[in-house]
Amino acid sequence: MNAPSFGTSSQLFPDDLELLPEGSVVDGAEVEGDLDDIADYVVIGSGAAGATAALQFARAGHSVVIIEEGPWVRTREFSPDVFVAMRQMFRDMGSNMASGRALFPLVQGMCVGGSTTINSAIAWRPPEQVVDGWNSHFGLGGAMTFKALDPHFTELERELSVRPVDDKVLGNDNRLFAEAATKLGLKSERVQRYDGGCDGSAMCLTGCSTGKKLGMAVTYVPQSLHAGAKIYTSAKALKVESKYGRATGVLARFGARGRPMLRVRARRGVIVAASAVQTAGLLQRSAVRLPALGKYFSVHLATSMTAAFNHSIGMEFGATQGFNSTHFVGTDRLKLEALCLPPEMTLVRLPGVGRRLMDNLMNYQRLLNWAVVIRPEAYGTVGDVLGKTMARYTAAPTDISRVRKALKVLAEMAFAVGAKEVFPSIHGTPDLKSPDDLKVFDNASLDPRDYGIMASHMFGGARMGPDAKTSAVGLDFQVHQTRGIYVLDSSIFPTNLGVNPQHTIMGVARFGAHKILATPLPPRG
Amino acid sequence: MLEAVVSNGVIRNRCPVDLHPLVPVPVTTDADVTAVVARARAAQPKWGQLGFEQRAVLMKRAGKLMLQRRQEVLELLHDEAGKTPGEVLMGESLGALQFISDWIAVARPYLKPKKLPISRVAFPGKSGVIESVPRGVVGIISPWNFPLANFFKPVFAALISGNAVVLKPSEHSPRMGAWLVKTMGELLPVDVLTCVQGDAWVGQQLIRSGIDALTFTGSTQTGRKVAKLAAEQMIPVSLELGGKDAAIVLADCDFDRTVAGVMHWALTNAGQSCGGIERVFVENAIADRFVERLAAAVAALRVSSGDPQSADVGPLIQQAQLQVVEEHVGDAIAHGAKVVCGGKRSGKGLWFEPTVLDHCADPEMKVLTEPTFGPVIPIVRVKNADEAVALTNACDYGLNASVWTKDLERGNAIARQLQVGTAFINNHAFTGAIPAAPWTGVKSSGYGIANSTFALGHYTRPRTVVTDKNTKADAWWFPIDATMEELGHRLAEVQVGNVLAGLKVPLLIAERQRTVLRFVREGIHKAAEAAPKKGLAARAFGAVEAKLFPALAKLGKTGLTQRERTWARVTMETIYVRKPGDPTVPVPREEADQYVDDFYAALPFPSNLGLRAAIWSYGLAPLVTRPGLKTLEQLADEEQQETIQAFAQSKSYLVRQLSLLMKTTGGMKYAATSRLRSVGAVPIPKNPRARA
Repeated sequence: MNAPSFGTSSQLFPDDLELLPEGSVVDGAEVEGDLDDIADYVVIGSGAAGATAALQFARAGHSVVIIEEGPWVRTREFSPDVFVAMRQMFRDMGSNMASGRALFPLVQGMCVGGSTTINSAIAWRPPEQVVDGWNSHFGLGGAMTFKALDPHFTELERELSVRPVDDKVLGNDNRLFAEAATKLGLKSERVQRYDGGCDGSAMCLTGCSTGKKLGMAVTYVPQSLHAGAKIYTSAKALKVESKYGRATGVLARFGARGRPMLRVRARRGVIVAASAVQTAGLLQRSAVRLPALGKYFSVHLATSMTAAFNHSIGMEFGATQGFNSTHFVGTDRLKLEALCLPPEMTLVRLPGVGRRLMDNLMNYQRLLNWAVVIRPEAYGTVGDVLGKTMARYTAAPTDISRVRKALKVLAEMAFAVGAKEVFPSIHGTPDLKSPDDLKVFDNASLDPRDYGIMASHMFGGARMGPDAKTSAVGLDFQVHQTRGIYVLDSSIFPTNLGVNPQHTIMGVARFGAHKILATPLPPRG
Repeated sequence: MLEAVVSNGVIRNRCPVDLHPLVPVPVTTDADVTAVVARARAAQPKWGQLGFEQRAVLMKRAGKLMLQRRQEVLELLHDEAGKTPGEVLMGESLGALQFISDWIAVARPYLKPKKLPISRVAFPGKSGVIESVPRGVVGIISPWNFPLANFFKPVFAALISGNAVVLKPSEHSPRMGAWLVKTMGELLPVDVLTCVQGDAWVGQQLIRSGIDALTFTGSTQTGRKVAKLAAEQMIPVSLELGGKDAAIVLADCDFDRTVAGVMHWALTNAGQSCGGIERVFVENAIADRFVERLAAAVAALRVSSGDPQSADVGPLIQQAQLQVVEEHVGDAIAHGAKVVCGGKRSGKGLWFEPTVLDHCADPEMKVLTEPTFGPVIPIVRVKNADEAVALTNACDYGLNASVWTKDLERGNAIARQLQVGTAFINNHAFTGAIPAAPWTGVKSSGYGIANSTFALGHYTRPRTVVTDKNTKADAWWFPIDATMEELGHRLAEVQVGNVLAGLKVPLLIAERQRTVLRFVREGIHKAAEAAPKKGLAARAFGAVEAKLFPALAKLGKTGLTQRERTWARVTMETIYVRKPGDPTVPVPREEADQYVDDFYAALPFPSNLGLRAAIWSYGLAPLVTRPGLKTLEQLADEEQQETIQAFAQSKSYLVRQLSLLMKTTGGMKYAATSRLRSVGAVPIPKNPRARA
């Protein structure tokens, strides 16, 4: 294997190859022949769930193999260029869509660390009533209570240095958000993040090139490798192999059709942590036939709004997301957030083309961008079609009306702190010049196709429950009617959360891993 | 004081010419109504099974017989209706045979069984035939204004379709209906055509007697009651009710012909015609001249000599109607109308002088709102055609209307604005004698359709017989399993344009067909639970899939052509260049081409095909958004800008998505990083690699 090309920085990052145990990383792109391997636990996916679970098993002294579909893009290779980032680290370059009445891009990381490499590192615990609702309304019956998860959250927060955004790196985008919320009398909160000493470079979304964002690729994945685990990158898990109803291992391939194959046998079990989008399809390819598999797929829908000011804002400095408002979470299932976008992504939010577009973009210094995440009520489906995962999702009209309401609130907030112009990003709605124009939202279209909405957080598809007819995964995290296939990612969540899910996913994965470790293995059949 | 027409079980009429009493006709008793309908029902199957051509032959013979006995018709109509022989021959008697022959021609293709169009793919082995079968016994209630011809439309259609028919003639013209039944009955099987006599009560009994369909022709007021009664019996009813037809006379009409035409269609049958002209709208420009000529012509018509043989306009048929006409004329005068000629009774019988009322300006007067059904021509003077159309449509009735003009194009345009069943240009209402032409109206004129194939829907019902010769089970039968779900998804994908997903459909259908039968043979979900074994076909499909999809993916990866690069570059320059006086440094052409190529190659299949589609749609956009066979790069700067602007704001979601793709594509590499940095507008943080 060739050594990867190093950057010129003299600083070392935890994901630098020279700091990792020799032989613990196999770069699938460079493999030229079929490979076989064996481990106690095979973990599919190295994102929030996979890396957390792998670390628990490795620390408990088991041999662990992690299979990751994407490449390992090192901290020193991160580029502020959005094109490069998307090409290397986003699934299908961000063009994977949930189809339905409108197309919603399913934005997911596909690299070591999964989406934690390209998200804003927000660490919110789930609302207690949501988790307890799973127990009372979805038959979990106390199998996974908020109280049981609590010590895991605490441990994660300690290990990953969770803390509120520091004043020094707040930046104008976040500062104005807080100011506007106060003016309108909205409750707002300083965001808690996995923060290794943020420099405020506003580059969370393209991979933090300062190495200060504590995503999985610089924390739990290297730590797992140090604890004895092994990772295959650029290896797509095709299916979980079973014999006599028991999982025997995982079949994977290093890249496209025709590339060499990888077969990893699992002595104790296979942990599926491939994300809510991918897990159901993978299980379907693995001949799991359950009526509920692929159903109850849910998301958070997100969109954002850009406003122009007379003075400089400077989205290129500050925490990418430093403030949010949970004021409307209880009443309207929506959460407002500050969000610094790089110019390439801001472009998509700006109206018009040609001179108008460029005039607006040349004003990038004076633009700010705030986002909304809503917790929709609709469910979709997800599953395997010809080897590719396809998701179907149509937002309910009430969901879209919430998005519209949120955009109105954001616009009102922007005007409250002196915005000169607001671009509402609803097709057919004019730009707003003053607070008097806010009423255009009341008559704006409710067609999801008129909004630039993306699905940012994904859940379900293999939800947990006691009944094999209405759920796919049992209370012991094993797929119903199988033995040895465990699912630990957000696809087991019976509902969406209403807050950024990374912390919940990690907490549940950690909880699940400990539960699996505590359960004596059944006799071999 | 009106004398009662029906009393003590007997119908007593007087001849309207001189009011001498006619021979009384006995009213059918309730029990007899039921018996008549029962006999008709017993006779109907044989008539239906006779076949269309046999029925046609018999009916034509009956038609001939009616023509041969036309002298009887002349005498009966003189006595019952006071009609002149000329009018009877042209308006009633002569039509019989022609009407029957035309009905046969109209009905023949309609009544033939038709093959059910059914997809062989979706419904294998299945075929069906749609037959038009007769309703059974049809009741027909008709008014007195055309005692014979009123029956032609419904009776012939019902008979040729294979129904037995029971008539209920008006109590003012019972003898004519009886004559029709007797004459045709000589050639038709016994009880296929019968009649009952009496007033409204007998009509109600007929509706309650178990008939299968009803056709009612008469007044709107009675029509509403009939519809209610029929609804209670849950039988279909066809209502052909009154009219208040308008004639719109424009300044450029063929003057003499228009005067003659309007006069005829207003006064024919002494105005007692549902399709008679009852309102005349005349443009101011010619109004004086028109009224003068019309009045002169009307005054010259012969009436009231006491002998219909030497009269142009006969008497009214019944006493009550004469009172209505008098009341309408009086009301009009009270509302400011001027009597130009006529306006009063005449002679010993039920005669009324043909009347022209000028200056009927008040739209509320009865003569403009309710059917007058008499020899009265109200003239309304209007500013122009638009006013006439508005007034025509303001009426509660909408049977026919006519426009009189030499400009046929304009006449056609006006005709299409009229809310009526039939609109005429330079004539009126003559289509009532043509079985191929629908005779129908809107609003209070009733929803029934007489004549044409539309009417046959009333006299027949469709019966569909479906045969399944398929020996295999249907794919959607129980049990429900994963294959069924996959099949459903794939069928849906195919319909939204994903042809590739359809390749596996035949295999899934075959698998489902096997599963259904195995399920029945082997019982409870065993079949569904068994591990899915791949059959030969599935394996073959796997092999095809393995070869086909890489091939398609390769196709998606075929590099962009020079033309596509040019279009993409021009698009991006238009989206991202500020003209004029753009301070940014243009990206060199080769570099721009390289950006597009990079992006295209990096996008996964099939998203890169989407980009390709976007490039093509932009390149060719000018062809659809502006005239001239030019592509994007051949347009001037401003036109390029407009074209792309139009695309970005398109109503089509697909086009907007393509547009967004182009905006993003350019934004990623072309504009944001290079161009912005070139003017220093955005201090983009440096790559840490370059930091040391």
